Amino acid sequence: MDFSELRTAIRDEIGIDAHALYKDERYSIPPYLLDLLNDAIIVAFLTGFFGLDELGKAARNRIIQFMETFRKGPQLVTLNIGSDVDHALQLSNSPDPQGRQRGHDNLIRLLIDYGMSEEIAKAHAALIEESIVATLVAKKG
Amino acid sequence: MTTALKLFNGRMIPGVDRYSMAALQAACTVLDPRMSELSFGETRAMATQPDIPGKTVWYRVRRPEREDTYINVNPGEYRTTMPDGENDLVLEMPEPPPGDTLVGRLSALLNFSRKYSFYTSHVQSLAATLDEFSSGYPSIERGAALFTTAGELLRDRKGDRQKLTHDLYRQGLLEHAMPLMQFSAAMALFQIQAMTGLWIEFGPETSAVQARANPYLQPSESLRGFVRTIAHSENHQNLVENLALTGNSCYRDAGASVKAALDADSMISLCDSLVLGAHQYFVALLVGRIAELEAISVPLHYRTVQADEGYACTQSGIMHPATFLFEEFESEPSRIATLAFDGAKKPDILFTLCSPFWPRFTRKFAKTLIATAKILRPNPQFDQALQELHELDLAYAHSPSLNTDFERGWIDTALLKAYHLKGDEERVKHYAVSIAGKLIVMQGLAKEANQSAAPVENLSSPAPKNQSNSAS
Repeated sequence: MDFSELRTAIRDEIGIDAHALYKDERYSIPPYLLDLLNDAIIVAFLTGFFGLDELGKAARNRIIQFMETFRKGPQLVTLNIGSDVDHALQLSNSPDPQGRQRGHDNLIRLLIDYGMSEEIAKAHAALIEESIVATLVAKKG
Repeated sequence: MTTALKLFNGRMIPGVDRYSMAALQAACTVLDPRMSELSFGETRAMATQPDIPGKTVWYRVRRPEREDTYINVNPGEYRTTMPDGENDLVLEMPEPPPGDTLVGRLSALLNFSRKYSFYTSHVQSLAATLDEFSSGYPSIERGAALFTTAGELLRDRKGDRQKLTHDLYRQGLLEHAMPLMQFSAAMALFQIQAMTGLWIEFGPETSAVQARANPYLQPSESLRGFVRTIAHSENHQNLVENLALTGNSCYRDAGASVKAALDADSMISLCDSLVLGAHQYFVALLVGRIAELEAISVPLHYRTVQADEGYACTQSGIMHPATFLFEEFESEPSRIATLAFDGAKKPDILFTLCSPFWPRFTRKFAKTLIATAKILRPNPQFDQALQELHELDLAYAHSPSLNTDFERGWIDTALLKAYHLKGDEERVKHYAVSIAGKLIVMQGLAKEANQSAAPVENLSSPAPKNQSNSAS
């Protein structure tokens, strides 16, 4: 299944705040960096209620390695996990309230670590979360 | 000798009049006329930036009123200090192509609209913008007077703040009573005064915060002066709280406006939402900058550089029609076809047409352009693209928006080309007759409307001066 519409929705929701990691100067952000941010966002939310073990050991390790390096700074990430993230979305069910809350907290933490203020991170997280859950529900239906 | 400028180089697209007037007027009223021409010339010159293997090529941008800046198109980057890396190559920005100016494009569009548009109030408004461009100065007095009146009503408790603000947005921003940048500063000044309950007095009376002339005539300077004065008074905390509220709400709403623009049904709605978004980013930027300059600690949820980036990106989307409208019908679809031929996937192509970083087209129209790109010449996706165009036409037909005539006119034109290429004469005849019929109606209604509006139009729209291009 192609989750490109979900990725577009997340990218548009984040919008200019993708520049949150830049301190002073204005630089354009290459599309691949936006893709990496998208992957990190989806993984952060999914891991609130989805066990990465379901993907198999190799994919799980790739995702863990990706998230660890992403948190150190996006320029260090060279691993593309797009297909693993698609697979996780494919296997995941829509979350129960507790799982959704854990995903929500993970997502806010990731966006703050990326450089956003807490207020902006919370506003984005609420809308992104809705998009991901709607995709999971639609996939099931 | 210059070639006469024409919309889509002379290809008549039904419904183009209303969209092109809205889009070009928005593009020409972000900055004042002098800065608009300068910025447009730089954009045209940037398109000539060479691609030298192994080198990062920069153009130096010289402006009399500020330090030199440096721009690189591929990858897009902007610096305020001279790049001095091993591979950096700094070149002087060349002169823009001679005779190709915004005033020439406005003039060409006005002549077209007088002949083909029955939206007479829009034609008159366009004529007024062209007049300002021809004289080289924006008439900021009318916009400033709107703010002065609204401020007086509010201060004397004779007006409803919400309604007054709404009217200012309509007249000042969407009907272009003043350039977007000045409007934004004036609106920030108006709102901060209303929120703090402290008003600048001007004229013969004396008060705590004084101005010799109408503060809305130089709104950025007035805003900074107001902030500086209040920051050193007992109202410091009141000011800080309201600056934070203004900056944070504008920054948050700006992102939502740009998203709404991309999701809009019509390109006309995209223009309106982008104008609003650029205004909101600019207010957020202004609040951040003034707080920095005056060394006031304001709890903002964003960094000034982010608001700056948001404003620059949104402005680039607003300015884009100044180029797009005067290209060939096939130009943008051909570039898309080249991207696809080079292996770019549809989401990646969509990103280049429709994203918060360069909001040029609505998502729906971007899909229309991608489908158009696939019917320019025979290819394996031709029939699928034809089907997509029909589906998009149906979607536009059922759109709640009343402003999708241009999009439907574009699709008719693309379908005419596609069926011609396919050799389906019956369909070719159908679309040719449909397009011709719409154009005849357009011209007939325009003639009738312009005849009845002629006396008013002649009074309010004097003949443009200093036109550098002949009209279409």
